[in-house]
Amino acid sequence: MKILPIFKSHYSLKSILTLSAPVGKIDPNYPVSIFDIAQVHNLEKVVVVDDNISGFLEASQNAKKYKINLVFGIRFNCIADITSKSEESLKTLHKIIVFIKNQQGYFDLLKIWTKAASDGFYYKPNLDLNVLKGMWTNNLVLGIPFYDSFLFNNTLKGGMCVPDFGFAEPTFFLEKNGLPFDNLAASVVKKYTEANNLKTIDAKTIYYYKNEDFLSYLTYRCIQERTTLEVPEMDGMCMDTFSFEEWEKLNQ
Amino acid sequence: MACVWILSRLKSGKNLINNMFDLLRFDKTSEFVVVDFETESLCLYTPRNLPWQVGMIKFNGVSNIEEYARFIKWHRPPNVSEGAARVTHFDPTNVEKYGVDYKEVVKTIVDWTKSAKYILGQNFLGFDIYILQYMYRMMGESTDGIAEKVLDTHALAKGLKINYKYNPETMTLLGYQYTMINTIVKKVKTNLEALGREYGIEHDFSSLHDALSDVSLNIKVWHKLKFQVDI
Repeated sequence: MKILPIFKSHYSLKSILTLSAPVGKIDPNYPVSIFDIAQVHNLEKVVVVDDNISGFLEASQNAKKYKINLVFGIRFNCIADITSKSEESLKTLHKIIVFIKNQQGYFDLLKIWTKAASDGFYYKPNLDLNVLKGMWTNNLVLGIPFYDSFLFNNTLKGGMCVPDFGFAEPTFFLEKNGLPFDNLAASVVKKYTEANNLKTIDAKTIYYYKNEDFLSYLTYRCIQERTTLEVPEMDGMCMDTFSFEEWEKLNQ
Repeated sequence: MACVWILSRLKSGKNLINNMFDLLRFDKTSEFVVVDFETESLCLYTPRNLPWQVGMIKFNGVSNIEEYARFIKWHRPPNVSEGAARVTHFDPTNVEKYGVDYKEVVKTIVDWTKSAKYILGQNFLGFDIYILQYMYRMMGESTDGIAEKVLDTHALAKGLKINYKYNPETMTLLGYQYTMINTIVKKVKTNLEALGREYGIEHDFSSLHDALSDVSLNIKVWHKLKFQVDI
């Protein structure tokens, strides 16, 4: 069975994924465009999930120009109530992905993003499901990431979130990246989706091109978080398998 | 009606007693292995943070069975960060003089942990497990099922101190331990030295951060802790 590659773009350092126009080759000493990966490896479709909407314009222009089917989504922080900054509300923090289904979907997503980045802003843009429900349209698709979803947080982080997805039928992503808690998290997702008759898709989040690029990615993250490679203080920064190379291996 | 009530009480009583004897504190026969690595830094990406010393003890509910402690010589010289060297009293001459080739050590670690029913460690799920998984991959072994064997004294002690009990009906032991690791509670000390002193354990605390000394204390802490947590 095919595993869906989900790219996450970045703008920094070598071997990190960008949304730039392809140059027709992949140079290991420079950042790699997701569209170059698509061209070199004959991908007809690329799925990009970013944490903000700023890359969408470049991504959609390049996708159109180079005839690559783009599926774009934004990963949002979701809490119980965006008007409350209480500890209780923050304990319900989890991630969701809102995908654009068609052209109108972009405008619908833009409104949701604006709401999250203005009314819901607390260090980062935040949403709550009541707000999302009120703004939901059929031009959007709801995805639940494998890591940091409400199920993941409830199982492994003491989260206390029971969301009501009645307004949209979410699709859950399942991943296997060799982390010690992957099997446990996957079993919880399977149990929940079976009980609620929801769809799952085998997927792989891709942050860099080759496994050897992980150190560049880790360095980039350490700079962002103001930590060091000796003490990165970041969960999950232990595997070099979030790469396109690893996705190719799994699909062989 | 009274008969039914008595029968149901007896039945539930029997289950209670059965469940009670399933607790690890009563397990005298299963093989446990306690593992500790001394490493170059606190990075979780093992190729950049290789362990330069390992300590392991095989034990069961009655006694210790076998000890293993080695300095490890990798394909490159150790690159220990200043902070880690200070904390662990790292001396490069020990690795140079007494170090054993990593292939031999890795094989022993994988063999021991594979055959043990439980892997015990202090903050094992938060740190050491990534090194162990790396070693399994080096040996071409699957890493599936390693985490499910882990008993993390740091996580269990934290659960005990904040009175968050493990409930097998609503959670897995692995999920419970991860929840405890990810729960930040101020002023709750669950490091190995603090637990050892709190339990009044006799140990040479100045020798901590030597891998064998750490695992030896870890077993003593476990033998106290297991009577306080219902797992």
